[in-house]
Amino acid sequence: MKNIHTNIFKGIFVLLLFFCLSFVLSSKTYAETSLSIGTAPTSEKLKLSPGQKYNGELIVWNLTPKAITYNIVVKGFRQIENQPGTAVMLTDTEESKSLYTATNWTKASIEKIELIPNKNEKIYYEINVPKDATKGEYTVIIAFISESEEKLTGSGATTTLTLGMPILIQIGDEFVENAELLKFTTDKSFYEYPTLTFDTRIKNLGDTHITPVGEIVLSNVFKQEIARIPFNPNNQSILRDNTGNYETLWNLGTFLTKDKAIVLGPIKANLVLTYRTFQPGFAPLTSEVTFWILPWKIILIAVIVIIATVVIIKVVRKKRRPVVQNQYSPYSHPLPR
Amino acid sequence: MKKSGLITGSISVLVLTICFVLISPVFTSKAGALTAAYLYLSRIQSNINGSSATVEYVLAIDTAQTIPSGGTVTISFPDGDDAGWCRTAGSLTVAGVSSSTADYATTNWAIDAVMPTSSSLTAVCAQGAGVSSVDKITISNVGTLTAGTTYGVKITNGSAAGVIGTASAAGEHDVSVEAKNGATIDSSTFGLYLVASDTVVVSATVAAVPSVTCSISTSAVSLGSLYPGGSYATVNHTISTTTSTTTSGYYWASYGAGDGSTDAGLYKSTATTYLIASTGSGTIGLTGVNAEGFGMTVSDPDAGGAATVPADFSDGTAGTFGALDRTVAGAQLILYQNGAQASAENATITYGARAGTSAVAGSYSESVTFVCGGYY
Repeated sequence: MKNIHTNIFKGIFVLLLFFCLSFVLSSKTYAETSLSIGTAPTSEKLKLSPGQKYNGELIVWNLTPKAITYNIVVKGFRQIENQPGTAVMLTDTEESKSLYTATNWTKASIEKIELIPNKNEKIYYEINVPKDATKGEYTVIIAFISESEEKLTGSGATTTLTLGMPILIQIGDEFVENAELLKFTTDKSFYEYPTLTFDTRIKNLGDTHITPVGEIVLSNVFKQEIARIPFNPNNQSILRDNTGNYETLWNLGTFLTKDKAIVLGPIKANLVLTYRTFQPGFAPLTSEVTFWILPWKIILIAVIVIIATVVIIKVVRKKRRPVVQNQYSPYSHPLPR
Repeated sequence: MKKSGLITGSISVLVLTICFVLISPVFTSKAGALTAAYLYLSRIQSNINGSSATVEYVLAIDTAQTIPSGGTVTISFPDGDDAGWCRTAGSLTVAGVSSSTADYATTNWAIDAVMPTSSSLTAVCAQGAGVSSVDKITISNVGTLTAGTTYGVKITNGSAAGVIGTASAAGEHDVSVEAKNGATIDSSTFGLYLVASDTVVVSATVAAVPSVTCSISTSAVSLGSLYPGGSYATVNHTISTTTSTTTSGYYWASYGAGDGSTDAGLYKSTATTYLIASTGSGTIGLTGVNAEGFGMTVSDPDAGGAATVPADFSDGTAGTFGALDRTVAGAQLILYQNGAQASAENATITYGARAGTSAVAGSYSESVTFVCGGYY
């Protein structure tokens, strides 16, 4: 009887232990929240005058099933190093040193917003250009930074999502548009197939952003044009005092163009681009690079096949000769009559 | 002569009275009201002319008494609407229906069965002209209509002459429906309301402005337990991007917080503090002897397509991760695409971390900020 009671108590104890442990284990889990934000437009390029007031708006949305709170921050921005068309907010130190941010002129209608799922929200902003603003291009970004609700209980990482609308504001009329082509190369000088990337680096020496556009014209050893590749078709801009790297992919996928021009041997690539808004043709940037396209593996296999064929033919002929001689052999059987 | 005439007259009246009393029950009309009836119009706009705009009628009736087979069902429109409902007189197309949009389920105002026919249903539309002559639609060869069953019938323009429409004036119009076979008649009159316009034009303009939508699948990921001197651990989540066709492309950059002064990385902020560092640039190998560090890789969302992952974050060597830098000043590009991305494109972010033998026990965390945008 005593043993039965002891077993019952043991059973209850084990059950309670499992119950308590389940709480300990579950305490390490946490709900994960997805983040999402969209905006339109993605950027603005304005031309304003000293003393002018500009009112603008942008639309934001959240495509997750849960409401997310975003802090709205107005700050100057810079380009990610060598990456044209990108924008990251300035740090406070950078902001204080920058002469061309429009942070103090720009005000968003709200400082925080809870984005309800699948609903467009309109954010208004106002830019008041000071009357004594000097000529130049000023930058400001209206950024949305997600508020983190997650608290990690173990080791790991929390994520924050930031999306902003950069605004480039030109004050004044006449700007110096000047640029230097620092690099126009291919990563190799020899390729097996006509698939390669051209790397171009341009430095903006002017006092406003530039948007270089142009073409890379390829020609073969017979000076026949084999391709004309648009340069910077997406119009990515380089901010003042910045450089921009552009990658231009060329993937022809064949050794013969539609015009029956052969894409083998030394290929010459000529870059011609313009960047000025006024009379762009007067200051083009040009460069040239030569590279080889030679499908050596295919050529090697073809040569081996040709050599092997020649050898086989010769061996077969050599083997046939004795047979021919045997026709005159005294041991040959005469044909039946 | 006068007396005989009076007698003859009296006898005649008596005979007629007796005859009337005997015969009159034969002509008794069994008239009643329909239990339920509705007329559903596919358009409720006034002045539908039946040619440039057409209308269909669905009639549902439930009689209070059984109407024997071979009878008719007639829809009569108001006297003032001549040639409005029956635009062109003639044969109409008629067919029994077992349901309609206007059915009110579980009530008598829901069609139970198609209207039966004694041979083949026919419908004719006749125009009214002047006072006491109304537009009428008569359905003939109707089968037995059993009381308690709601029958449905659809009437549309005939293949030749018959054309139906709606009255020219908006507002209420009294419509009578009668089911009849001989003296057995059930009928009802109800109002039908026409509006001047039954179409709502919804307009919108799809803006041509560039747009970008950026998403992260989770706001927190756990690396589980790291063991000093043990192997590296990984955990992942996804980032996703969509743009409008007018957008020049998108980019993602990221940076960490680290210990707030030296490097990004997993940081133990409580005493004794310790940083499992990310070196700020290049890659971090976590497979070497007593290697320690934190980094991440990004998968190419379209493998050879327009999206590109910079070399540091796309090293395919197991245990090699791209190093993160600290603060917004150290933001590094991790994924970009020149050109629009119409459908959502996912890239997997994989974090890798390894604790060296000197790492202090405790909870470590890093706050990774992802910056997303469309090119300007």
